[in-house]
Amino acid sequence: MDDLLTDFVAETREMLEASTSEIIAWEANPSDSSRLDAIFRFVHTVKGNCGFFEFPRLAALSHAAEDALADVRAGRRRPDSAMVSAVLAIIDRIVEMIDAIEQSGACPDGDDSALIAALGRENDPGIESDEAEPIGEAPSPELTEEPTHAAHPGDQPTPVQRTIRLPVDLLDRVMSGVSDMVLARNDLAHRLSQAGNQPTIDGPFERLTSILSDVRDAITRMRMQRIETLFASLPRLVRDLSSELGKQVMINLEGGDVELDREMIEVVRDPLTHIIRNAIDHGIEQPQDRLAAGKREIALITIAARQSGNTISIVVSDDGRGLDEEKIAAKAIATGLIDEAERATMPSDKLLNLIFEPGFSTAETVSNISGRGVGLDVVRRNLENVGGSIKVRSIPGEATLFKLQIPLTLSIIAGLTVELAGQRFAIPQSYVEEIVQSNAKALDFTLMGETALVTFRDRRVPCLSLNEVLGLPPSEIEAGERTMVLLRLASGDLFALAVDRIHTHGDLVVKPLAPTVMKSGVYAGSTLLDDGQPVLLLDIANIAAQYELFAEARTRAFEPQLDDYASRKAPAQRAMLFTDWTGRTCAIRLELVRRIETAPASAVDRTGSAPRAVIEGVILPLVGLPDGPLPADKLRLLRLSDGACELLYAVREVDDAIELAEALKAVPDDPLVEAVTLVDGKTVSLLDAHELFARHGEPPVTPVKPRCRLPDGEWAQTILGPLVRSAGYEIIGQDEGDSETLAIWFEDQFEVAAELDIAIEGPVIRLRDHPDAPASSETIYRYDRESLLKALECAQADALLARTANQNRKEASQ
Amino acid sequence: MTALLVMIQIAGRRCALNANDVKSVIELGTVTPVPRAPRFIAGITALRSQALTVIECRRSLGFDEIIWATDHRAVVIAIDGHSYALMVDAIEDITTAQSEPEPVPGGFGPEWSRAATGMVETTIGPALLIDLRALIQGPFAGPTSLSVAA
Repeated sequence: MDDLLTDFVAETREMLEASTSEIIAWEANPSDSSRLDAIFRFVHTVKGNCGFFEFPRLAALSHAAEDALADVRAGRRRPDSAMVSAVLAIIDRIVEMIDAIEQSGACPDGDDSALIAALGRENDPGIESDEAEPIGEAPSPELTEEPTHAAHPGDQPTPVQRTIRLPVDLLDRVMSGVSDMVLARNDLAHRLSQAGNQPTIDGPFERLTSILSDVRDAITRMRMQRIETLFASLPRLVRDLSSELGKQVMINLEGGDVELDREMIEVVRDPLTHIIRNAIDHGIEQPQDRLAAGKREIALITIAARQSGNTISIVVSDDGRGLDEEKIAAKAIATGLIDEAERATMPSDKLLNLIFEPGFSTAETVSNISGRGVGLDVVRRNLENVGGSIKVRSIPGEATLFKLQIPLTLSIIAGLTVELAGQRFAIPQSYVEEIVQSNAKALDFTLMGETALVTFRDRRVPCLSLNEVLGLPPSEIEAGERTMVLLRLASGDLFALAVDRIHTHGDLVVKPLAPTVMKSGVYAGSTLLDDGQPVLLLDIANIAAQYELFAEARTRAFEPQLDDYASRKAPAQRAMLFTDWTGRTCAIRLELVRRIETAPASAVDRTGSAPRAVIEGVILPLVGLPDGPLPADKLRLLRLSDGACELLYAVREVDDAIELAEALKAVPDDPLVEAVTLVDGKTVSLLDAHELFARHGEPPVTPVKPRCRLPDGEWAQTILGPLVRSAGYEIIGQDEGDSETLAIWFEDQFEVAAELDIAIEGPVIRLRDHPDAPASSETIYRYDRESLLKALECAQADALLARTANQNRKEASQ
Repeated sequence: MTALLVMIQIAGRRCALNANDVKSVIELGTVTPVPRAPRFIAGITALRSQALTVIECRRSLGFDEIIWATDHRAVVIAIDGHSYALMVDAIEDITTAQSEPEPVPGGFGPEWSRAATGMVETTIGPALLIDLRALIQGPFAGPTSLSVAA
């Protein structure tokens, strides 16, 4: 292929990239002629360039599009969605042909008459369909008068920067050449300083240094690209997908000016596209479903890029139906990722993130949009390969949010060099919280077993020795005298790394290490110091994980690995230790203990067949009380829950949470005791939760809150309402509630109601307008806060008593 | 076959590397050790602005005793985008192959079988053609398919 043709292909591609977003913007607002200009320029250039080559198809297509667009620009025609689609289809066809031309050097054969005919449709009233309704505003009069873009100086599309195309290889060569130059300069600097001051050389050398650092900056920037270049293709993607699926989706892009390493942009492109496809295909509902759910017909996908430190986060959120936890759980169980027991205890965020596990996909039908066999597991793996991560959050029925985190660049990071046994190592600056030149007193260096601890800002922080991490002999410097680098992990956990001394910090150009070296798991790459000496970059996150300094890693150690069924250990069993009223030391499995409550003796009701107590307005069965009078004014109660039923267990003293490490010995003769075991050499009875709940468990009596009806009017809503609510009531509408619901009336309205013989059910509080009341009045002055609260409290107590009595009656009758 | 070969000695045996795989031969400067890396990795060294992984070829083949001298030069190769410097006994010459690599009846011995593609005749005598991938994977990697065939 000759050079002219190569240039043609490249130029066409470049212009297309620049005009894609303009096309979408134009569709959203057809009257915006400045948008039109970029597209017009594109087809016009293609048409013009075709003249140099024998590409009749290209010429015909671009000519047709140009004509149609010229009509719009001149105001002779109003753009509609059918026309926009037709123009887009033509541009697509042009791209296809350009691809073919690039490969074979010749234009493929084919028929474009249908596409060209589609452009003319609006002119033919006979086939005008609903779809061809004009969208947006009709062109304004001044637009007709000012057909050229020169008339809109204030509203120009962003000017396209003059660019040239370079192979990335060449870029890399230039970059490594500059790095070599820096090394040579450093070498020279070293020699010059050895030779002493030489003013005739020092001046030019200084200049060389500053020029070199400028060039280095520029080269670094050459590798950086605005994330806009990635965003530019997304509106088109969203438009095509949504119209294919009959959905209406708007896309909102934020943070396009964030800069990212060129290669990183390529790494992110596929995951991002994948997530957007998923969102439109599965997340976003059909327009009618959205309307039915009370949402806007047009769904919104927001993509926001943010830079923080040396990571970039990209958040993709949609306001679709959210992720279906139950479906995910069912699928995960069906595919064997988790089992029922794990499902029951799994927190929902963890459950949601199962969608990134290999072999997972909830789509029941494989659609051609997102079911391509490439799952989210590949997305996660690709991101993790470059040191990134992905998480998902979801609000059912409202939104799904994917958060991608990626390092700013593959190659340059700010780093700290430390020295150990004469050798230097680098630590990414982003982890470094603080450097402490330690002496034993300031850091309170202590050994707990084999684990060293230091005290930093009143916190005990685990301390690793870099010698130990790297398997080197212990340092000659006394443990308490070494320099501590305090490192904060992404999870927020802090740990200290003891090194011999700190060297320097600065930007490090990180190069990957050979796979055999990476396998050791403690290095993230290598870099060259200014003197040309290679230095290893420590992989802090991995080191922390190896020593289980991570909160996440710690919990993971307790939990079975998802992919490791065979070798997994039973999770540690934990229990709450307490002394009951007979003086026996008992334990109950920790999972059952919902809370430890302290309740006044007055909350306990022993009038019925079984004792009960009221906690926070809920009546619960109470066990474990000694016979006879209540032993104390205040009772310690364990509130136990099996998920549905609850009960209270009265205890004399709560001891501690323990691990059931020793063997459990079954006790056949006491049904309430599951087993006895040893804790610190003493026997402890482990209560049988099954028997306990079978005998005494009850669902907590609802409603939790007493309800109250307020009178109409603003005063009642804004001034009375909050007071009633703070007294523990739930406020309900006039037509809700039952005969037990408390109602607040204004005295005058109450009297009117009484006059009209309207039956007033349930307890009533009557409010009067004047502070002075006639004698024996049952009304309360409406600003008499104290009396009002007292009345509310009495009504609440009455209601509870009535309910307890009801329940006891019911039990007695059974 | 008239392929160019770089003739080297590893553990006292004459070996050949395909010259197309060899980027250059360098004077080995300071080697920075890499703690916790496998023993056959001597460390990393700088070649201009690049970091090379230095492979101790004798150890990589599984020979532990160091009874041979080591050349002060190293052979630089690149595999999968990573560059390596190979520490060998001696770098001898560049010559042309006079035969296809062939197996030898009875094999080459366990250490060699894993890393050798076969025997080639050269102008300065027979030599073992070395599989570079096996060399950089070290002695504990499984046999490559080529050496199984050999």
